[in-house]
Amino acid sequence: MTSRLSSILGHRAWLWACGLWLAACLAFYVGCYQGLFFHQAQEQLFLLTPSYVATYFSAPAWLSCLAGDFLTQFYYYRYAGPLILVAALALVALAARAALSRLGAGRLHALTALIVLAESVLTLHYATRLSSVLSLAGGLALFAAMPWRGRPSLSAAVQMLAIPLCFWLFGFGAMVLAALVLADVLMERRQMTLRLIALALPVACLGMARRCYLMELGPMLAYPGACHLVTSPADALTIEKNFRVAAEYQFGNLNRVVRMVDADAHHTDVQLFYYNLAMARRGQLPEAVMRHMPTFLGTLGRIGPQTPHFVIWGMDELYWALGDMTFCERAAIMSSVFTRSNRNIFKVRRLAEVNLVTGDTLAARKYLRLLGHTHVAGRWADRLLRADSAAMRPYMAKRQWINRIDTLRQTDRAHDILTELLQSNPDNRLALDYLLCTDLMAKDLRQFVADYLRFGADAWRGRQLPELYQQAFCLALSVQKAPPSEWPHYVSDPAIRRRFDAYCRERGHRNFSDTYWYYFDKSKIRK
Amino acid sequence: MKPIITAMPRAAKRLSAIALGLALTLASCTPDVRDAVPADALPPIYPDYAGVTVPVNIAPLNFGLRTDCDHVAVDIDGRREVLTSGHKVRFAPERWRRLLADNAGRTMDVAVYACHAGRWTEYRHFGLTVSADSIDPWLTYRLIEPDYEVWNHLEIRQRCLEDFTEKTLAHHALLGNRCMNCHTPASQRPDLSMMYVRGSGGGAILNRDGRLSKLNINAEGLISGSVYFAFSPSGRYVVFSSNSIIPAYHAQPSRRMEVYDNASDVYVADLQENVIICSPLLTDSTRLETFPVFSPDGRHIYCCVAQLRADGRVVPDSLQYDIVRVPFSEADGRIGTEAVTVYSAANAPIAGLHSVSHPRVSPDGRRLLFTVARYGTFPIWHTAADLQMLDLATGRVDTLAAVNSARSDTYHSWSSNSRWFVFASKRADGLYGKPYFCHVDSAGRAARPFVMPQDDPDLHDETLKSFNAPELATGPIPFTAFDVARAMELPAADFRLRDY
Repeated sequence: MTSRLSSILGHRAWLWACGLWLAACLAFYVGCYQGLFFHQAQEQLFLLTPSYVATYFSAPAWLSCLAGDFLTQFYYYRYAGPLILVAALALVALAARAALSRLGAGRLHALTALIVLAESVLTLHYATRLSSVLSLAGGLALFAAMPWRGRPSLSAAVQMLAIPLCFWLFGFGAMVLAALVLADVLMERRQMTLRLIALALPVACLGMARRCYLMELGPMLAYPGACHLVTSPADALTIEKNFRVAAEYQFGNLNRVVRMVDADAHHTDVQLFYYNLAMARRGQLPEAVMRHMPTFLGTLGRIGPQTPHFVIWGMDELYWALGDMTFCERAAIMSSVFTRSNRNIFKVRRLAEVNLVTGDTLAARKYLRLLGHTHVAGRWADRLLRADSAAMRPYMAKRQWINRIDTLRQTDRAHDILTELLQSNPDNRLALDYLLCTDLMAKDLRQFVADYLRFGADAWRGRQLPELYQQAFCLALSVQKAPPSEWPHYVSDPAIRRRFDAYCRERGHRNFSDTYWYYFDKSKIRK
Repeated sequence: MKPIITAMPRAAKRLSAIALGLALTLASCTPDVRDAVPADALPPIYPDYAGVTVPVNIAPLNFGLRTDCDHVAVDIDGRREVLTSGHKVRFAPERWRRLLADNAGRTMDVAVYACHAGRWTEYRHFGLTVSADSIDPWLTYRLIEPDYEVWNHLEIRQRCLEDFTEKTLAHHALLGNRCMNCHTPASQRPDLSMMYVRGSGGGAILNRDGRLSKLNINAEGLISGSVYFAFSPSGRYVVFSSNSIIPAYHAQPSRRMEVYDNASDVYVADLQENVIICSPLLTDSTRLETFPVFSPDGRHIYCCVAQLRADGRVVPDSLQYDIVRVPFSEADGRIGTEAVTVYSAANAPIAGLHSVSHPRVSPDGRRLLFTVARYGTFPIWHTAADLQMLDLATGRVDTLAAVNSARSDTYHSWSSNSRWFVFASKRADGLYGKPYFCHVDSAGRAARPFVMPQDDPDLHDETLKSFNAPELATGPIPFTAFDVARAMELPAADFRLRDY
């Protein structure tokens, strides 16, 4: 009676411990890791069509990958990702407990806890897919389900079949299964030779699957990714910051982007990039660009295959906001190409949008048809395929901003892009702010003045210039030794003039660290 | 006692409702389509096979209807061939083969009926002409995103056109995700072909009877390693271009990308002696020479040539390429001394299309197929790029109105019997190139082309890769992706330059 009670209590204690851990995971994912889920949702384009589903058979682990990717598409919705992942971890816990109890392992609860803990830690890495968690659960569950003890010859036969089957269904789960079988053989010690042969043979035969799957042996046996470990918690949280700010921006939550970055003490380039973009869309780039220094506009560099993915993704958003559809399409294609599965639902949607704006109906319909088979974008795509006028309106409106100049450029030099956008449409205030701020962050005062006179003079006629531009003009006019009568045209705020005079007396003093003059004298240009 | 219907669990109720719905739908759309309402429109099928000419050995032309429909029926010559649920039509392979064999040389009448919401519609019938001329049954192509500037997860594959068998010849996972360039067979022969694997330790992978070797077709003084190439009929020589290629972007979103050469020359590589043969005719620094091929008898080299401006500056939108022919002797590997202009951009039959690329002579030596564009050497992004065909005997140029589309049509290659050619066209969506096949009869008349059929007709819609540089072959290419990976570990055979 006592032992039964302790077993139940033990069981309950285990359940409580496991439940508490999973609840802690859920709280952590919801509170601190939402960006990763949205990122993973984008890293694929799951189509509910026979031909797409058939592609899962061209790699091991078709079942865990299919189930994992199917569920991952719901990560798009807030809180769905944490719930699904915690459910998958619960599945691992149950399967681990069942497998270990089948094995008759001592310290059953501790071992189970260790497996769940390890898998939870692995999920912190952005490359750990839900299918990896399901593969582990699959391998453990298959071991628990195999007919076992007392019939070694039957066990040998079953394991001969189970390991290839497990590899087909769960990829590296087969390695987990093989390890458990080996532990069982060593613990049971009956007909060891037969069972070891029955274990070694199928494992050795898995190598032959390379021919079928066209993969190197190591990646194939670890498919769909057994062990991605974050190098340090700080790195993981930095990446999460980037994921989150990108996600909030893509959802259109500009205020959240601004609040998030303002509240953070240590900014990443990606955060600052989206911060500037969000502020620019509110018409406040000159006010914001120097708020968190050193800032990152994204317009001083060029993108190519070596550019970090975050930057390429962000540049796609910048070009979209500016109206340069050529480079927006290029960045979207590059983002999609460099996605794990070569297809990124958000970027495919962007490709459809770009072509809707440019009026390339054939291309837009290609992407819309594709998106029509997705859960997340299906309804949106269907409306546009029907040429629903309400759905089309934002794209028609955006058409006025596109580049109408016909030139050939060898690079994506932002200055060229921005000036052409302004030539095409002088009312493009976003392009104007980016142009002038880019000049200023590059410390190119001469270009700033030239660009202002060419594109900005009309935009601010009769209105006071933003403080940043007035500060820049203080420097420019001072360098040019402009007559005092010219100053009020550009520096209309006497306080700025007075502060500049003070700065000239204490050049480089930290009291002026919020000014453009201080940046000009003291800061390095960031590309 | 509760009525059965309310006592049933919810899931069971749903299943019953679905089953009932299906039964009603089937009942409402009877297989008998005699009540179909005629529509004065061709069926909205994709791929569009209406009015095309197909070879007698082609795989089933499965297609889908791009309209709301619950069932589709297809009659060919009045006989019901397919009655199916959903929007996809898939023909039984054996029955399809017999159908084509029985109708070789004639045009079949195809009727498509669609049932939606219990009503059948009979679309306007269309003709499907079956040519008795077979097409070379294997096609190789590279699968790549249409950007061309960047790549990830490239593959070179071969596909049997008589069924839907597809095999991978080179795979990114086995080659460290390198760039690979187009696989080209010698005179449609599967036993002799070459492809490039780029990057550190890369080279030209030469296939001779399935045995692979790695070549470094480069030498000091060349602008670059080999880029565009073609085999001589004997297989001993490869004529290739050496190019300095510049990618650039149009500000206009509709024009997207441009790629041009700011220097290029043409050479011949002797694969037996490992020497590179050059000629002043083909390495003139005042001209750009590219896209070389041998004539089928090996006695000439055809290539595209553009004159540089007097100041030597390359202005991409003023680059106008002609086709020239230079004699060549396979016996001693000598390049002739006189170039003849075969096609001059200045005499282009269509105004505005003044620059020629990718000349390909038909294996019977009678016709020269090439691409024309407004300017330059990268017609794949020129929406106006079209194919044209020159009769080498009469000098008459056919603008191939039945073949070309409003989007880019280029990258063509011939079937060994000179009756078919394949080309990459972006007509379906403007972005992704797909292989189209076109019949040329004995009089040189080209028929309406058709896209490569797929087992699942939705596959063309769902792919995000271009079928790049399609090449036909008479048989399956006898190596695997693993052979290519092993060949990459071999030392590359070097070449030395033999001056003129």
